[in-house]
Amino acid sequence: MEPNNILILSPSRDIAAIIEGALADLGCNIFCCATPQQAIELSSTLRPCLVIILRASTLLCGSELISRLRPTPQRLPTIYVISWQQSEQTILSLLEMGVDQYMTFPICLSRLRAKASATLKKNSQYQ
Amino acid sequence: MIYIIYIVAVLALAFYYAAATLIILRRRKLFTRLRLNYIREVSAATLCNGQPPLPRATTSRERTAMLEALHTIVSHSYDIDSSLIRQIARINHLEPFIISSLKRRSPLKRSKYLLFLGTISTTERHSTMLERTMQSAHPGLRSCALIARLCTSPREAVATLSQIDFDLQPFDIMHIIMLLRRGALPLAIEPLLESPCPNLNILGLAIVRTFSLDIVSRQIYDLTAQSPDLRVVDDAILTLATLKCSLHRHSIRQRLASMSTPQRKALCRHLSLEGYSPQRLQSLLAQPESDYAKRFIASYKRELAHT
Repeated sequence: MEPNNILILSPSRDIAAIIEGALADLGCNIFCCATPQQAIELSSTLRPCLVIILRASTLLCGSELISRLRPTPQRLPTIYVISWQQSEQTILSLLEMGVDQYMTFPICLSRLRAKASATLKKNSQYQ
Repeated sequence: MIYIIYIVAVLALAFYYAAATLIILRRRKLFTRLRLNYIREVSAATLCNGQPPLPRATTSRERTAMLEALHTIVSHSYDIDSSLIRQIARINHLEPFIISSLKRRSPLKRSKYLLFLGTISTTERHSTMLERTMQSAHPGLRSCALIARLCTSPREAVATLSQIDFDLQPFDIMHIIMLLRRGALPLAIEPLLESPCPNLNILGLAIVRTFSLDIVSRQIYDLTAQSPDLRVVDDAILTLATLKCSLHRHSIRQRLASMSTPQRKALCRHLSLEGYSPQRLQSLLAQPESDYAKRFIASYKRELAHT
């Protein structure tokens, strides 16, 4: 597991760029992809310690994305989901699937950076 | 000879169109790259300690990309320092650029620039122009003018909304709720529901549905009984269903009886999605609709609608 790799899965390049800009000074390598398939391929080669998914429906369509991003029973990589959906049912479903953090848009960029920074530190201790 | 000229002309035209398409695609690609760079720079600048390096835009193309970047960031986050956005707008002369763009563009592009004006401006300097645009016959233009007006003078939101002479559309309501979620609009829910203005009632009900505010269920029951506007009554019934409240009231039953069949079917689908059991629907609706609701609940369509 590479402690300095972050993978952002977002169909929209603009929104991915917001997150990329916010996490730029954490001293990590940030990679972006647009489809779940690309995310799985990049995840197997880059072995990121944090994956940020910017659409909840990507996980709710039965794609088993989380189990493929996290093939071993470990809790790594940490998975964040950020989406506009705020129904309790959706959030509970995502947390049951194994998502570690769920945030709704509009997000607080400083809070996201602080959470990502803490996750990176915690994950580097496990290495 | 004529055939040769004809073939040469066709080839020349094909070449011209192919070259033009390639140029347009390349320009779009460069523009997207420029916008993404601005988004990254502004996003990083908002979290920078001290005086961050601010991005610069000098050409109209760069200014448009900058405006799109600022709008994307502002609409997806809520802790952005507005003084930083104003500073970026000031050093890049974005406000005069928007005003000049508003004078000569098509309604669609003017709508876009009105939203940009709402993103960067916090002054009431343009209120007269915005109020004039809110009278426009073009629905997109007047909606964007309304959003820009609310952004530039959020303290007058209730007065602005009660004065508009068109019905609020889902597009407007979605934008207003986005402003609320960003904390950019100070609106209290009770005055909206108790107002005699249908637009304010509709907005209040949409806010209740979005944030599941069950503390105002009494005011919503009052709306079903007292509002003369059927749009408001229907919306109030949907809102009560979203809050999982009882619909066994005389005023609600009266309205259900006067609804058209498609309206009742739409309500059936909504109630089923909100988890109302077939027994409760049977006690509320006539036989054909309650049978329809049973079929809908048993079908896979309900699951599809949920996802």
